[in-house]
Amino acid sequence: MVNRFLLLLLFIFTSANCFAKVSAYLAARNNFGGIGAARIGYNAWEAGQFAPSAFGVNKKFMLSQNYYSTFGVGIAAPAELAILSGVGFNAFNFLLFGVRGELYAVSTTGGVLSGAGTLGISWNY
Amino acid sequence: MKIIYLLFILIPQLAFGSIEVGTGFSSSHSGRKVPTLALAYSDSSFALSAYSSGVRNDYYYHSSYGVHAFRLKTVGEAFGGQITTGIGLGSMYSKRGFKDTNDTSEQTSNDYVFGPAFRLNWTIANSFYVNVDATYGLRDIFSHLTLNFQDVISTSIGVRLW
Repeated sequence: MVNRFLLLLLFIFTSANCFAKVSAYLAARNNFGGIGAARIGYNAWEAGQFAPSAFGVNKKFMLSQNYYSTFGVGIAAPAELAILSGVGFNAFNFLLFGVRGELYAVSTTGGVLSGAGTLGISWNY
Repeated sequence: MKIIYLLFILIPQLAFGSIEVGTGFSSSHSGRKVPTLALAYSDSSFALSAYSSGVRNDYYYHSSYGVHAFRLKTVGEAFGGQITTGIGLGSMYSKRGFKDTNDTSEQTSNDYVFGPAFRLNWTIANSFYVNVDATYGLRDIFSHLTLNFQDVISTSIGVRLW
């Protein structure tokens, strides 16, 4: 009985939550000084706040069960078109919630480039 | 004889992968928009990329060089182009100098960055691409725990020669 319970816990904590059909990501920015990302997703696509000063649409590509890369387009400060890119992880699915983090890079058409990390929680249904 | 010609054309492409030549911007100039020359060699699973940029006038110069090595994976398509992701290591070396009109000596400083890196390459029509090479320089562990890195990002557009 105990073994079954442990197996169930192991399954819950390691299940592949990146493949969720509907998802959300809410994360802190660097220095934990505010919201770094706030996105909602459907299948591989996400939309919303990509990085602290960048908004747009991005697509996730699975590299393995819990790791992914992402590429998108959007608008970033100072109000310029931007390429949004990053790599991240999404793990520990528990009651549909997981821990997710990302290293992002934002490149605007005006030549403003920025990057850092975001860390937060994901919701995967 | 035609087969020999055909092999002559095809074998270099199979053996040597492809060469990418592009231009863009990097963040190693502290916000100044200095164009870069970006070059890369890549095959289906590996890429070695580098960029160089610099600016100079009578009082000041600033040169930056970046090198990255990635393990590549073609992961899918988005916005009508093929997406290739690379995970690897990157480094950047930057040197700048300043000499005022009345000074006899030049003030110089160097920057070094080394750390994990990723590459996102969006290829359109087999030859044209938009590429992002991002290096997250390692510093003290406390700054990384607060999600800070010495980020050096090189974004370029270019053409794959073969």
